Amino acid sequence: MQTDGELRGRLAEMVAEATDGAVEAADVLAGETRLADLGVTSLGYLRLIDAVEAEFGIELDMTSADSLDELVDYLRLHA
Amino acid sequence: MLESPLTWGQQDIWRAVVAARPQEHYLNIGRIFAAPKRPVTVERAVKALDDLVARHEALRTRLSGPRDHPRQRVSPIARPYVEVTDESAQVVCDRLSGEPFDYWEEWPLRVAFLVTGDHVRHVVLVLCHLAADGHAADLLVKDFRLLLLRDSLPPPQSATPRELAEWQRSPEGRRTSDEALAFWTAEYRRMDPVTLADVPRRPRFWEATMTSAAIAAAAQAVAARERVSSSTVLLTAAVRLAGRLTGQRFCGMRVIVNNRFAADRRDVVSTISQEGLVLLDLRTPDFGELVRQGWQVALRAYRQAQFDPYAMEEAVSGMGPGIRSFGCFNDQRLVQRDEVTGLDERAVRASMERTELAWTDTMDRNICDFRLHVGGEPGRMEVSLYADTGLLAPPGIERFLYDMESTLVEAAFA
Repeated sequence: MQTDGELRGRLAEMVAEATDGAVEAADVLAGETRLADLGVTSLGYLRLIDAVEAEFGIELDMTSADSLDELVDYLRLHA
Repeated sequence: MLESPLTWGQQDIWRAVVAARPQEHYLNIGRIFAAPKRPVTVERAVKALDDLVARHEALRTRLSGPRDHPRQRVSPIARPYVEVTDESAQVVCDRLSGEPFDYWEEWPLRVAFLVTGDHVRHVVLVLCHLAADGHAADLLVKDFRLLLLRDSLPPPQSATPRELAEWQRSPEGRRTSDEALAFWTAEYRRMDPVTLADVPRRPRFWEATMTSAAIAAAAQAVAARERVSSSTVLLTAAVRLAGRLTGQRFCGMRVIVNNRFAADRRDVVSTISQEGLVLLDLRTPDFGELVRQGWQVALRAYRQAQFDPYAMEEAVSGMGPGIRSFGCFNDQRLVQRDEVTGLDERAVRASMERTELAWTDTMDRNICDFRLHVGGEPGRMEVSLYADTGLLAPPGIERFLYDMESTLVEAAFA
């Protein structure tokens, strides 16, 4: 199982990939900000959700991906 | 020759073709782009076109089989229509877009090389919508430009139309469609009935286009404040105003969804866009709150936009008298990332004086009775409303567009 740090790092990378680098992994890791506030667009969200579902083999509840912390919690409970 | 069923996206377009015949050329997709600065000969451009056609199966595909139940047939080689001309790009694009494709005989693209002397200055591409949607057209332009500069490109990674059709018929594909049907029918059950009718004019469908700097500035300001895209802001305004027309508390509008979210779908060259359904609860008087609702609802809706269109039609058509989605929203802007600009209220209100509205098209038949398109430049937006006059008379069409503008300007300065 990944440590929290590894999981956060991987998810932050996935946010950067989903937004074509418009949102940087370091910014995602820096705080508790909502992903939308960092500049993740609806297209970025949809790509992220798809990538997370494919990588972790889960179905993501759309309301559980507002922030990195929420995503980590959701994956801990469901993956 | 390889044959396969049509994909869901192609079936959607085929339904639109049948509903609009013989005026379905409005579905053609035209693109104009400048050739690279390095001089390009016609010979070089023809070679790039050959490579483009070899690279994308969609460009080598025509329909086959019976007219009421067509299939797609991929050929190993295709020679699309090409002309070399010194006319202006827009004139050529309009001319090549002006006739429907001959779906059984003609290759799904028409090309013009615009030359000055021996060199190609611009390229015009007109695509059949059965082969490409707007995003695919942009991908083709990108590839074409690169092929004018380079001899080859890395092979495409995304699924081909035949692979899409195969996946759609697989258990996973059918499950995806069933989930979308379940989502849509659940949303339909929440809708209030629509009772809206007027005396139809001839021709029956009228389009008005509003060109406005104010709506662009206002939509971006609201988007920046609410941390959503301007597309969501415009969609929310459209649903709110539609709800005022229909008197619905729960109003659902269809929205064109790109469906390229998965990694292996990002660069699909085919018609993969389909409609999503955005149903808003319009009881809230606060526009900002409604926009935030719009963002959440739209995200869910975008995930339910892949389905068998004939099964969907059957599922939603019997939901009860007047229970229907109202209209279709299509944001076709190329620039999706919003600029955050300082907003001067007086300047924005003053710019409303320069807003223009023109009647831009008419049709006798169409699959959709209320279609909103957003386009134009970042600072000067074009919003078109194509409506069945049997639903909304021309003065109502005009009013709807002006109300879009005033709703957003008021929201920006609330």
